[in-house]
Amino acid sequence: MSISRNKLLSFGGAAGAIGIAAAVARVACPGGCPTCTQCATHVVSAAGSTLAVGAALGGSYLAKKRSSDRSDDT
Amino acid sequence: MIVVHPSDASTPPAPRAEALRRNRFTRFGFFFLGLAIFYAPFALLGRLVGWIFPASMPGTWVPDVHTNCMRMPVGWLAQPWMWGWMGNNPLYFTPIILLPIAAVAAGPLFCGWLCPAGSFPEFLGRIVPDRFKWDFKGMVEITSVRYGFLVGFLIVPFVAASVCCSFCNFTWMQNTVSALFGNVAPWLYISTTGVLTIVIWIFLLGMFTKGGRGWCLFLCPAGSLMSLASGVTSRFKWLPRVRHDATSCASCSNCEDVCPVRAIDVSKPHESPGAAPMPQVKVNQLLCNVCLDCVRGCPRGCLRYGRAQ
Repeated sequence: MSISRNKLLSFGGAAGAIGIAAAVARVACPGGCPTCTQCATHVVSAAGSTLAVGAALGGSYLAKKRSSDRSDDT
Repeated sequence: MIVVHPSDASTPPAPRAEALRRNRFTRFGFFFLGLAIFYAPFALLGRLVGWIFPASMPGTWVPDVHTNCMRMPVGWLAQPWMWGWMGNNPLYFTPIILLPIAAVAAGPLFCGWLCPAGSFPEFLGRIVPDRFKWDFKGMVEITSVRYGFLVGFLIVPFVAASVCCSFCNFTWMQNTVSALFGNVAPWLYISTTGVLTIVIWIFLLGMFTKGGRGWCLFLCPAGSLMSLASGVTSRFKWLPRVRHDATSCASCSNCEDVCPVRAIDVSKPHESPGAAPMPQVKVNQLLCNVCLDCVRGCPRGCLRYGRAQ
C-alpha cells in the first residue's frame, strides 16, 4: 500500500497548522494559553488558529486539485 | 435478505425516507440525552462520579462538559505538577480511555448519537439546501487532514502550550446551554475567540458543510481518537461496525449522499466483459461515526451494523 504525496502533505500541513496555532496562542497569551478565556489577546490566538486551520484545508485542496489536473493531462 | 438479479440492480430504488427520518428523529432525542449526561447544569455523569468518589468533587464544584475534556488531560500529561489533580478525578480519564475503549467495542457511538456539540450544527444544517453547502469530499484529503490535526493536538502540549480552549465546540456548546439556563457570563467572552469559533463551528463547518459535521471531521480530537480506535480495529470481523453487503446493492449512492461524515465511497459496477457486476461500496471506518443513517436509508438493506459475515 502506498501513501500518496497529497495525503502526506495534507497530514503534515494539518499537524503543522495546529503547531502554528499553539505557537500563536503561546505568544499572544503571556500565561501560556489556554483556560482563562478572558484575555483580550485571545482574538490573536483565535485568528491564528483560524488562519492555520484554513491554510491546512486550503493546502490540502490545492494539492489535490494539482494532482487531479496533472492526471487529467496525462 | 433480498437477492436482486443484476438486471434489476440497474434501476435505482427509492430511498427509505421514512426509516431515515425516524433514525434522525431518534438521534435528535439522543442529542438531549447527551446534554443531560455531559453538560451543566445537569451533568449527570459528573454528578454520579462525584457521588461515588466524593473526593473528586471538592467544595462547591459543579461538573460540566469540561470535566470530561480530552484536551486538558492530554495537556496535563506534559505538566507533571497537574498529575495529582488529574489522578484525583476519574472523569478526566473518560475521553482518553473509556470512550476509545467503547469505540473499539461498538464503534464511535458517542459521536453519532450522544455528542450535542457535533449534532447541533448537523441538525441546524438541515434547514440549508445542499446547493449552498461545501462538500469536502473530493475537495480535500479528509482522513489525512483529520488525523494530521489529531497528531498536532496530541503533540503541541509537549512542545508549546496548547490551542486555546475557546477554540473548541464543546466549550461553546456548554456556554450556550449555560446561557439558556441563566448563566450568561461565559457568553460575555464572545467578543474574542468565541466569534471565530462559533462562525467556524456553526456556520462554515456546520450548516454550510454537507452533512454538517465539518468540525467533527477536522477539529475534534476526541472524535478523531475514537474513530481511530474504531477504524484500526474494524478489521476484526467479530466487532460490530457498519458493514456493506454487495449482493443486492444497486450502487444508487443514497448511502453516500446521506452520510453526515462523508465516509462512504460508491463506485459503479464494472461493465467490462467478464467482470462481475458488483458495485464497490467502501465505508471509511476512520471517519464513520455509526449514526446509522446509511443503514436506515439504504433501499435494499445492503448496509447493516454488526459483525462481518
